[in-house]
Amino acid sequence: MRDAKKTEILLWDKHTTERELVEEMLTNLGFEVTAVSNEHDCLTEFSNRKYDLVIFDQNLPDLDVRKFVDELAEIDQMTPIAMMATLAIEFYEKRFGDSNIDFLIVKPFELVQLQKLVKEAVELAERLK
Amino acid sequence: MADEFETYGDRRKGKDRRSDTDRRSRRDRRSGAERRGIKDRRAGWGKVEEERLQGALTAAATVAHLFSQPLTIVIGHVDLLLSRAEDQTTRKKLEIIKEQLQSLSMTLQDLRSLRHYKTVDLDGLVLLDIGLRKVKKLD
Repeated sequence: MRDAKKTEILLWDKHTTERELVEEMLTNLGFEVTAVSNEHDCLTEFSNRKYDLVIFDQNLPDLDVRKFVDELAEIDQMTPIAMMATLAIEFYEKRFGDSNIDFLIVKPFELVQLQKLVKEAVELAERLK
Repeated sequence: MADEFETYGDRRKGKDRRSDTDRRSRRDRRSGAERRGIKDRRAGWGKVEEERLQGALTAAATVAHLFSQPLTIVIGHVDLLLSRAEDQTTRKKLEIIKEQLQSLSMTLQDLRSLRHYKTVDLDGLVLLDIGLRKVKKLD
């Protein structure tokens, strides 16, 4: 029997310690992860390969979130996008509710919450097909 | 029975109440932070409450924002260690660490959910009410 295709995740986090941790957590859960440290690499990676989910960290002072997710959506609108956040959900709903962000994962999160996020994102991608 | 405690402003002891150190002078009374000016009184308490809430919300959001990342890193590593640890003593200790981190995480969640300025008095310790009812009194 052929092995099922591994879920492929593109992770962008500028902070090395956090990026390495989330990458390890996702790998530990059995997903294939490509981790990048800047916006340019993230968009380039996303253009070059089909991913099942993009996770990025909002905690960047110079990041125009709306512009970034619009650029991702221009490349591929069917790939779910998740943002790692730190404040109350209502804040993000007001600010980005109508953007291309599909999921929010509020820090601090545990392994099980990360697993749930990927599961829901994969299900959404299936529905969007 | 003789008084065991000396109290300030105790008229029974014939002291000059005006010289007591804990009494506020007229100037102090006027400048008391809790006293409102005519303008404030006209505006009502609503403005003061709103300012307090805004201050509390800003402080709460700052704490939640700054603590979230380090807490994510610590919880994540504890989770990874737990997924690999085989030794029962190590597992038990990691579970205790995780439990405490989850408690901190819930406090952050309470801070994020703050919508009203309300305080809670824990035996004289006045704190912002973010679900501190759950805090157990120390023996």
